[in-house]
Amino acid sequence: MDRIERRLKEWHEQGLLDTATRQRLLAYEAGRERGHWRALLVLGALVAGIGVISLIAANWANIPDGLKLGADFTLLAALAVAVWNTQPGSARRETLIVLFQLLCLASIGLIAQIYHLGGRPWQALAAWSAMCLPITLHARARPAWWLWGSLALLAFALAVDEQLSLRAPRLEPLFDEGPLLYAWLAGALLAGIVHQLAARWEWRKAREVFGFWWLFAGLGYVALIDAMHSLREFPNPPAGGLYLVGGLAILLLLGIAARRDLRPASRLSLGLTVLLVLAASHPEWLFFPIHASDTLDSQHLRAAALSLLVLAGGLLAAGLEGWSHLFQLFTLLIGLRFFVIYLQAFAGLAATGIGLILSGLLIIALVVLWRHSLKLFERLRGGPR
Amino acid sequence: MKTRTGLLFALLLPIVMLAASAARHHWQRTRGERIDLPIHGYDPRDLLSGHYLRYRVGYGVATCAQTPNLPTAGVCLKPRRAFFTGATPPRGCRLYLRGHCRRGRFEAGIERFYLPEANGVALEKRVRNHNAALRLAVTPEGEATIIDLLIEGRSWHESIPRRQTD
Repeated sequence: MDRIERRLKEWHEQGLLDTATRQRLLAYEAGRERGHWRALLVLGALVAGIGVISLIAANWANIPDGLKLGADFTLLAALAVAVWNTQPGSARRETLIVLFQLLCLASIGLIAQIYHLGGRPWQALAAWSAMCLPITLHARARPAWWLWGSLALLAFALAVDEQLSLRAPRLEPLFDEGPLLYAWLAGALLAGIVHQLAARWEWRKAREVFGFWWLFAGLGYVALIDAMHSLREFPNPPAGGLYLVGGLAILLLLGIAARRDLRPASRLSLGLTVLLVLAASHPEWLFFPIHASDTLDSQHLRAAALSLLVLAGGLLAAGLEGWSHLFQLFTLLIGLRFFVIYLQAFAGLAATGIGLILSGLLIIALVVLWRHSLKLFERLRGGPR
Repeated sequence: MKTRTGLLFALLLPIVMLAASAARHHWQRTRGERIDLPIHGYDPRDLLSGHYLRYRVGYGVATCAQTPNLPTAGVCLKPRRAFFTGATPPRGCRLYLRGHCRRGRFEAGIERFYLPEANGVALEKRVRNHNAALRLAVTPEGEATIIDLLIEGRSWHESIPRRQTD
């Protein structure tokens, strides 16, 4: 007899536990035990599966190509049948959809390996994005959407980098960062465009995924151009790069303008922020003229002003729309940027100390403004949506 | 889209696309015109990069000299070797490769040869120290597929000692 059963019997005999509760507890514990066994079985199957994969990998060169492809397509078909036979929205179907997506990607890799294809990564990712879009539209949980959205955006950014690189007129001695920088911006802008479309047509999961990448890639890009302008290392725009990002920015501005669920002031703030980032993407538009007499400190301050204006634009929109997490994020980033300004511009310990005190007070003031005295935003938010 | 027909389409589309891709490359490999092009490693970089071998292909003609980066370019292979820019091969060119110029090098999608991990180092040495070549199948549209890697005129399988391939 199990220890728990002995204790329950003892408690029952002492009158501490009625028969029905004892039976329920026994049933519950039996279920837990089955769960443990099941977990052990899954673990055993996983270990055996990894062993099979290792064996296949060890003899990979000796397996005929036809057999490899045949096994791959059989597995794909089996997964497709399994997806077909599961309940829509169930955890099992969502897991199988992600496995199906991953196997499609692995199959592209397998075909590339068998036929020694020397294509670029973006080509494989673009093909995968195209073939897996319909099945992603059938997914109801987040993982499939995150996987598809992230890799589709990566494919786009890599393709832009490739096309801009292939049009560079000169042979750069080491590494030409211009195409990569504009590809990054193009990826962030495309994420923003898809986010606006998803918000307009209420595609909840696409809105979430592309909204995240718009914010993450956009803020990363601002940090990058801030650093580049600070160091006067901004690359020249690649041929056609400005037209591409300009076109995408126009689409994004139209998308923001069409967002009736946002307040006009929020749309204006987001639109101006996009324009500011676009203007700062040219080496000279906002950072011109650069005189020889300019000190490095003044360049730092110009770059910091750019970042702070962008963050302030985001902060204003977040405050107006009541996006509390984004508001806190932008507040934190503004505080961090102030901290960096003082480190860059005033190297002395005393000046840094004063700067940190001022930054800290600014952060506290913003938090207090947000947490306790929302009158300003309420007044602003009182306007038409 | 979220109907049974839509789901069927969503599940079949990747399988059909992948099968078509495999069939297309297989067709190119079997139907394309055979041609051997010499390859050599480029020092001091490691030839073996991951599970594939990287090399430079000797086209027998100067490529991408004037324009280091170009989205569309090609090399005429028959009857005479010639580099050309744009998508159209020169008049009289019977067999050609399509590709692009990147950082002063012509690339036609044949710059990788996947190989078993165990043979990597041995094959790298052979490519460096022996006459190595790629056997290609080239379609009339200028698309190339690698058929084999040749060391001293023989398939790499025959070049590597048996115990190393097992």
